[in-house]
Amino acid sequence: MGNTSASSKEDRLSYRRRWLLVVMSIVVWILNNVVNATPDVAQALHLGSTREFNIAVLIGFWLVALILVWMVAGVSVRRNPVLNDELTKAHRAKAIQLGYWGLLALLALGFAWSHSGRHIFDAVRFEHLTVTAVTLGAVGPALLFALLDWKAEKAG
Amino acid sequence: MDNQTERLARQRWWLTLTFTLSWLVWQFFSLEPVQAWPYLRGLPVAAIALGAWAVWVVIFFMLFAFMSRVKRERLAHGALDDELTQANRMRCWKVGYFTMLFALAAAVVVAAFKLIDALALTQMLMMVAVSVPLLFFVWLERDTDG
Repeated sequence: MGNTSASSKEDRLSYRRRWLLVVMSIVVWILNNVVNATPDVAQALHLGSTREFNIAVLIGFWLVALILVWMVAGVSVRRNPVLNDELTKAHRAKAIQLGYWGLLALLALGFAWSHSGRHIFDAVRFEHLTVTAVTLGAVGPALLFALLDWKAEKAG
Repeated sequence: MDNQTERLARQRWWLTLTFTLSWLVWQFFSLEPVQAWPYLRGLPVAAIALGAWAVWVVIFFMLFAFMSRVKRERLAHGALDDELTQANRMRCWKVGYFTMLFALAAAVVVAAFKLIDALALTQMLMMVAVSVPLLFFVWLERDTDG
């Protein structure tokens, strides 16, 4: 009996964690689009007309990020050691490796591109590129982890 | 660890350290803002960057030779790539990933206020991304330095 309730608790928590990661990815992606839809952030900060809007976007970004961190902490492995089995560790390792090599490849691509004279790094777009890189770096591993977790649960 | 494994671990430690340091020196002195620094006017900055690059290339090939030698000797490979090393490598990936994520988040602010030229900023991000996990590995394996 004890085992059954433990495993159903684990199922419930890992289900929650999966969906949290998916929701987090969607929210971060939307935020990325909102931030990138604003004009040149620094310039707008000096123009006055869109200054408040940009500050609101920045504050909103960090507020939502903090709320998400707090929500993820709700399924924290420290408080729920049942969530931190060997399989989870392996999935996390894969997700982090994707994150590291993906971000490094993105950086290398950006660096090579900036040397090719295509002027992708004109000042206005560079900040948008960095925002997108942060987004991809956060969303990619999160979704990979959720996918691996989901596939493992489906497999048994 | 037996003598051979110890020797190989020490070699790996020194190769990783010199690889990272030469990479850092090469990248640092080839940064455009650094080259334009008035304090460095007396220094042959381009020559230092070129020298560090040459060292880096040599170490790069030495690392490849080292890796193929370790792979050939299967026992040594098993002893060198033990549980502790795998755990350390995992920690390095974790540190590298989160460092890069935070460095990029800082880069968003730096780029928004145009504090540094985009090319130099990307290069600095690459310096951080490559060197932090490798230096962390060197630090974790500091007992093997002999």
